[in-house]
Amino acid sequence: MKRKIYFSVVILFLSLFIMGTSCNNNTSPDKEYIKIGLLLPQTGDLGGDDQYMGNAARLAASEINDVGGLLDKEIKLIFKDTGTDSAKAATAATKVISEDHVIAIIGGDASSEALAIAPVAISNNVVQIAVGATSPEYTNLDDNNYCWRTPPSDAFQGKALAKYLKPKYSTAGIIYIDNSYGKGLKNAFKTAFGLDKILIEVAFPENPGTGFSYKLVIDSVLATNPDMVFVIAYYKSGASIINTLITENHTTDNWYGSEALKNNDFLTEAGNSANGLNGVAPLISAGKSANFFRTNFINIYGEQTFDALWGGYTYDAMALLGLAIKKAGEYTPNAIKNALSEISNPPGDTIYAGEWEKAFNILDNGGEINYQGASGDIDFDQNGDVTDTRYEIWEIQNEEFVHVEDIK
Amino acid sequence: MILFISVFIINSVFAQTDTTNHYIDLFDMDLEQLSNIKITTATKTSEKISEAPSIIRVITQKEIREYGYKTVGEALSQVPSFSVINDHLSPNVGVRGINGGMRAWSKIIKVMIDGQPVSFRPSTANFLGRDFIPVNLIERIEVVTGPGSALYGANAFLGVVNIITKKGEDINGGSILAEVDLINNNLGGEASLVVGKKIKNVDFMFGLSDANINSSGLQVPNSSPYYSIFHGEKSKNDISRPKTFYGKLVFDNKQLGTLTLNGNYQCLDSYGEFQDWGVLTGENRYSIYNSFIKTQLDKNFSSNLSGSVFFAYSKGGPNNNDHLDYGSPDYWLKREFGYSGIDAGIEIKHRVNKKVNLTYGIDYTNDNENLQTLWTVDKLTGGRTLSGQEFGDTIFSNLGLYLQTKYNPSSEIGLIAGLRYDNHNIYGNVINYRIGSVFQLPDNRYFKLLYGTSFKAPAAEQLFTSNLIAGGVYGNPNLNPEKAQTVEVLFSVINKKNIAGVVNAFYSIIDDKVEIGQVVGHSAPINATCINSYGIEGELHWKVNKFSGYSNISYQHTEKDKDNLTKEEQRVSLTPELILSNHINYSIPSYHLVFALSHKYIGKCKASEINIIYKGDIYYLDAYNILNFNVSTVNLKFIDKKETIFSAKINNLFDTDYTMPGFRGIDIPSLGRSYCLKIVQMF
Repeated sequence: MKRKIYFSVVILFLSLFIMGTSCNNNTSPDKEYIKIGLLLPQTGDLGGDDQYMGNAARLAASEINDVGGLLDKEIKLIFKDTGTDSAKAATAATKVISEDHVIAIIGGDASSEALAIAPVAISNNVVQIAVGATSPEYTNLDDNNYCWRTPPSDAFQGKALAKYLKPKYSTAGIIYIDNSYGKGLKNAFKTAFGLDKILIEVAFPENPGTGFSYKLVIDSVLATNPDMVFVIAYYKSGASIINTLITENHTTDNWYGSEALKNNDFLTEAGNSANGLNGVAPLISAGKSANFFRTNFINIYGEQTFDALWGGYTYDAMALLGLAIKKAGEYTPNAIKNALSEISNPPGDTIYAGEWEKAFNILDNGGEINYQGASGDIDFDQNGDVTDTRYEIWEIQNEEFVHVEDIK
Repeated sequence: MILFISVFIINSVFAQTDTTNHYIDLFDMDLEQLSNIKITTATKTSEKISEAPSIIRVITQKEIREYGYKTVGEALSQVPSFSVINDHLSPNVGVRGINGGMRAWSKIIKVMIDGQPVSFRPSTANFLGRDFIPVNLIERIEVVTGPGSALYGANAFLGVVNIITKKGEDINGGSILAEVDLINNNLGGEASLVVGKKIKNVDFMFGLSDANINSSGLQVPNSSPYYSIFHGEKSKNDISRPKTFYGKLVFDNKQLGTLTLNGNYQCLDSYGEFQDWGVLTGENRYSIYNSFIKTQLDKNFSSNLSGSVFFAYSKGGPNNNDHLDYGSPDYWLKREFGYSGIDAGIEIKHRVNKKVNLTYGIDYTNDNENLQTLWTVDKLTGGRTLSGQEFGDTIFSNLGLYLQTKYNPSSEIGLIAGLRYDNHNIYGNVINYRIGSVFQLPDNRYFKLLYGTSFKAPAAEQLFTSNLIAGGVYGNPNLNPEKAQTVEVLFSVINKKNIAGVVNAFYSIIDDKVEIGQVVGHSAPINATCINSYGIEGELHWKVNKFSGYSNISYQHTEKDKDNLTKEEQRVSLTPELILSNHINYSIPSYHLVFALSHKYIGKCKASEINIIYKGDIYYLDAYNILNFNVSTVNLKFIDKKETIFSAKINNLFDTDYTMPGFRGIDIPSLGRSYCLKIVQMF
């Protein structure tokens, strides 16, 4: 009898031991991820965007992971520096696809980066959502629906700004960065403002280096005496231009900056030289998604790197990919690209940022959703461009951006 | 059709005489006779090569015809120490290790036609392709290697090239040329007409040519830093349509003297698929015209005193179809610029006594430069927008005074001293001088010891211009002239009937060499560095029975005088250290045939500074050998006892793939094997 009891106890302990180790094996270190490339500039003229834009994408990914991830997997973002350089961006895209086997790419930031990434993505059947690219060139890519973007095309920004400025000014001069972004916005603005009213347009190079002087560029433009000057630049080059303008005893009166200048890094670099500068940027709605994004981001990353505009675009890009994967029920690029419009365009139940569980439940039950993003309404057209084209005029007062007026 | 009608009309007007004697005489000359050809470029006086106080090489019409040179640039590439980069738009000549660099197009030499400078003045470039002068008008090309500013002033920096044209009397009728070329499987061709005659005391000649050359189908070489960007693409629509005219009228009058009227028109009209601002766009068209008309009166006052006075008018600028393209889908770049200028001067030649000859003169140049303004032109609407600073017009004027003394204490010794003062309204005063001695040695040999200074004037576009591309090069109004001091020694090793050889050495110091640097935060030409260059050149001519030929070798070592650079970094880019050239021809008079084979070895060459920066590492372009073959008829007469010349040429016989140094991310590919069939009918 005692032998039977002892034997039973041994068996029981052995069973518990086996079950224990079996339970441990269920949380394997080789858990699968859904890998998504995050290609943003850590260096170059837009260096630092990887912080507030990259963190926005990480925020969205972590929110989705917190509700169980996608298809029993966690989202993993693979970051690579694009350097505000098209060659580096293309190399980064090639690496994340060939080495990390990402199924989608969030990025680039600059239009030149996005346009360099696009052919790599297209040829490898990988979905790309650009988060800073505004060049009209991106619209016309022969991309088989692999290329999307969350910011609106500059075709609209140029028109909106020109429409606003035409009653105020008879002539204009343009200073623009010599890349697809600068040229695209410049051309859109010129066409809408009137070719014969543009007295001069002067290009400066992309990534010119710290020693480059903008004085000759400014002198050339001001020599023609235009009524206003439109500066199309990224924040570093834009700050250098404005600082040079003030150093040379000119003023920012009647100077307008493009949307790329509307960020905190520009304010930091330009300082009080930028006071009085006006500009244009896409209008960010102050709705539920925007508020949620703002609150969560600041809670985790702090207010210093929060950016409602560019951060919002990147947050929405990650959100869209997550919802598309959930809708498709698989994470192949082909399925994702087919689902992107379905989860962002009407009809469907309105889903705001953070309502991931609600969205997943609807989708699991075969319903439709319509995501309203932190950056805006996010409805895509047939080219993968957003259709929300509202803009604002801003002004810098006391080193802060102040909303002046909505334009369209 | 017009050319053929012209031939018949002209042929019926003039008496028909045999025009081939002149060519046969040249072909039958032995080497000693050839070396005694009189040249004028070295001292502006007629003298033999053996007596001239310069390192001088003459390219005769014989050589041009035998080896089938189509352009002056091609002929110059055979001169020791001359290296030519062909970027498929215009030849870019470098001399003794120095090249003018990006878009220089042979600006470091002074090029003249019958003594008149012919550079394109806004940039001081010399266009030496088919757009320069009809090759059939050339009697000989006199090439002075080394300094020439003591006589010729600005830009006779590292060499002087003077095209001596034929007399109408020697042409005595004319010729019509038709040529078909096959380059990279693209057909092209050229047509040319030359007419000349002497009627009583009026000698006239003129020539014109028009070509259409297609060199499409080339790829950016894999040495290029930007190779990955252009990999797989080929040049397209790379068509060149050069046109040129030259005419000369000489009127001899015992009382008045000799009155010469001559003029030249050059039209460089070419697509530039390998130009740094618009690589492989298929729409980048560079179209420039350059012209002059000149009148000169020469008079002999006595047997010891002669003088001349001249006046010339020059003009040039872009043509209407000049269209610079970056490959932008939205716009192209329109340039507005140009120049018009006058040159005037007086020169006296005074034979003081049997031993002393003086040449002195004054010349004045006044150029009105309409400085470059750039416009972007919308491809859809044609609307244009100013794209940089407007500089307006600026006058470039120069007054030059020169004096040259030749002293021959004996028939074996010749001494020369020359001094020239130039005063320019922008870059100020420049003084240049030279001294030289020539010793006649036994057995027809000779020895020369020479020293001279020279300068390269800053061009209008180097001083005042907006950048052609964003972040590109602006003008620098404070740019100074580049200056050179050169010492040369030449020894005629052998000078006999069937073999002649010379060897010479040189050492040059070049100050204020212009490089692209930073001026207040933007790129601009600056006087950046001092360069030391030394080397050796040799040439051997020979003739054995029906075979003749020549070989030459040039070695140069050129480096920047900067202690903070490594040896590799000090070495100057763009020109090979070693060049070897061999030429042989074989004539069979009984069959009316001449065969010519030429071989060239180009040593390895350091890539351009800008490409090294782009690549992040110093790199070199490989050495290569290239072989050309030409066969032509001589003294073949079908029509009215007038010579008909058939020739066939194969360039790059073994289809050697080689690379030339380029700029801003790309190097220049070679043309593959190409073919040319030509027929010239004299009348």
